[in-house]
Parts: sequence; structure tokens; C-alpha cells
Amino acid sequence: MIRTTLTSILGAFALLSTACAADDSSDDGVADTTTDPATTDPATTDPATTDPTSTSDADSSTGAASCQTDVCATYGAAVPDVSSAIVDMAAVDPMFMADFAPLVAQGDAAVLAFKTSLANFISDAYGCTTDAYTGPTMEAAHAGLDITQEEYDAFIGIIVTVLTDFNVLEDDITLCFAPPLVDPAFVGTIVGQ
Amino acid sequence: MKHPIRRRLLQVFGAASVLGVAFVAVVGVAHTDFGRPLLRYIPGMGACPLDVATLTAEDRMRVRGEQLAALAGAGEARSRTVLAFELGTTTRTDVDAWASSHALQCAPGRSLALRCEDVPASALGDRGFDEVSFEFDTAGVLLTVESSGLAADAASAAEYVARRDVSLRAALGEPTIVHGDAVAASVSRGPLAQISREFRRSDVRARVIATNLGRGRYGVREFHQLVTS
Repeated sequence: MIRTTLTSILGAFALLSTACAADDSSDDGVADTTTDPATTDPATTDPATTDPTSTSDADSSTGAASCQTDVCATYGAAVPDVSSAIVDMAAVDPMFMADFAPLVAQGDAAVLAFKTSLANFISDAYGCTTDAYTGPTMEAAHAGLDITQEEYDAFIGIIVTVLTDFNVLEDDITLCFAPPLVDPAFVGTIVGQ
Repeated sequence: MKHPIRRRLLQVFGAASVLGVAFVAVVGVAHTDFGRPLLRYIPGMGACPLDVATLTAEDRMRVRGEQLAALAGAGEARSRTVLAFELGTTTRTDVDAWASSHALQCAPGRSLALRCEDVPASALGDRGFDEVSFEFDTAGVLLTVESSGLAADAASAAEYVARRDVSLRAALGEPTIVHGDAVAASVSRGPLAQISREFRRSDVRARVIATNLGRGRYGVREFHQLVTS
């Protein structure tokens, strides 16, 4: 009986290993590449992530650039529209198109639900709301997807384009929105998971 | 007759083993394409909201066509040539032969059909890229070419967009959307500073982008999508 049980356990572990390996190399196109913009609190972001080449809004006491804009007051109302545009743009980007296709195929209601979730996530991430986002953690959402740095870079490129389209000031993109997105701690919750 | 204590220990061990096997099996299934969407029903676990259902290749092509049709511009492209390929003409066999002839490392991509890494300039007749990816239709005809890489600095990133802007205007006409002047200062301002050009014709959509990715990294990316065959 013991030998049979041990054999079963080993078999089950083999199944688990196979399943994970298959998932890692999956090319089914349904894998998640959504690299939701931020989970880290901007207030706790390492200021070292700010590009040293930036000279805008330099703090006179330290020389370090910092965000001078109340992001929530200035842009909070636009978050749902920005989120919607990010999803729309990712859905037609070749790097993410196959990932979004199953969602798009489910119809407008499913896409709207995803956009709302993303808007809640962004709003929480920038401290405009608390616990509005009820979805999985970034680690859980991206586990096993093996998202590459190139994919992450492409997605934040989409975010920048959308912010620009929404007339977000260049300095606000660089000093307010960028730090969490280029923060290695946050990037690490998505890339290579 | 077995000793009662020994029998009870065997029962406990057996029950624990069965539960262990069941747990491992459930976790294993949860890591499959079939199982991942089911994670959303476990409180606190969640799953990627995009993990909804697999699509057939035909359905994926249909969704692709519908999505891109909304972005179609006016007039046809003068040329559908992208790097060493031609949208709507080059086949998967052609790309495989190209990859083989240049000894490139290519593999199925997670999203796009084929992804080649560390593609040198000699294989493209242009600059080299960290990645060049391809998408094909169900008949194996090239639909998309996407290339990306890091530039040495802001000047190189801007120069890339400036140079490609000239080439793309010749092939596709005037850009539909322009963001930023293609000069180093446009991307050296700080992280997430960006220059981009988008071209939308009735048959082809193309974008070229340079983005300051922070920490001294400058990314360049370009993609071409066949909108209609």
C-alpha cells in the first residue's frame, strides 16, 4: 500500500512539473501580458529610479527631480478613460494582440469589466483610492507567463503614448507617472514571473 | 490480525497520502491552460482576467481583422516591404529559411508566432535588433513584423526614429500621428519620454517608437501590420 501511495505521489508531482513546463512554453495566445502600470505606492518609490538625465522640476535642496503635481486632483477623473485607451491600444498592438483577443472575443461587457479593473488598479496604485482594485496581485496574475523585459518595455511604451494622447504634461509623465513603472521592484513583480 | 495502532497509522497515512495526491493534482491542473481560468473562483487567488478562453486560429484571425479594420487609414501603402520581408507575400517557409541562413535563434513566441533573438544588422539590411517577431495567417502568409531593441543612448534612439520616419514616409506616405521631434532632447528629458510616428493606410499600419525606459535605457521599437490582405 505504501509503495503504491508513494508511486501515486511521484506521479502527481510529475503531472505538476509537466503542466508547469507546458504552461511556460505555451504559445496559445491566451496568456496574460497585461502589465498593469503600478502596484507600488508612488510615495514609497525609490527616487533613484528617476532618470538622472532629467533636469525638470529639480528640487533646489537636493538637486533631485520630483513630482510637483497632485496626480489625483489633476488626472484622477481621467483614469477610467486612460485605462480604456490603454486596453484599446494594447488590443491592437502586435505584441499583445493575441493575448487580448480572447477577451475581445467575449464582447464589450467583458472588455469593459477588464478596463474597470485596470482603472481601479491604477487609481489605487497612485493613491487616489484605496482597495478599489479587487483583482489578483501582479505576481499571481502573471505567474508562469514568463513575461519578458521587451514585453514590459513595450507595454509601458503604450502607456506613455496614451498619457501623451490625453495631454498629460511631459514633466508629469516623467516625474509623476514614470517612477513606479520603471521601479525595478515593481518590474520584478511582472517580468520573469 | 494486525495491531490496532498499526492499522490506524496506516489508515491515517493512507488518508494523508490521498489528500496529498489530490492537492498536487489540483495544483497541477491549475497550472494548465485549462486550469488557470478556474483560479478566479478561489477566494484570494484570482487569475489573469485575460485568461478567459482559448480561441481557434480562425477566431483569432477574425478578431484581429475586426480590431485592425477600425484603424485603417486612407490610400494604399506604396510598399509593404519591411526589413527583409514583405507583408502579404513572404511566407512562414521564407522566414524559416531566412532564419536558418543567418543561423538565428528563433522559437515560437508567447504571442506572436515566431520570435528571433539577437538578430544582427547583416540579417536585416538595417540595424540589428534584440528581437524580431513575426505573425502569420492560417495559410502561413506574413501579417506582422515587429522589431525591438535597445539604443546606445538618447541620440541613437532619436536618430533611429528620424531615419525610419524618412523611410516610412517614402513607403507609406505622411504619418497619421506624430509625437515629439526626432531629436535626442525629446527622449533625454527623463524616464518615459517618447518619440513616435504612426502610419495608417488602408492596407498597412506601422509604428516606430523610441522610449526612455529609465536608468539609462533607451528602447526602439517598430512594427508593421497588414490590415487587409
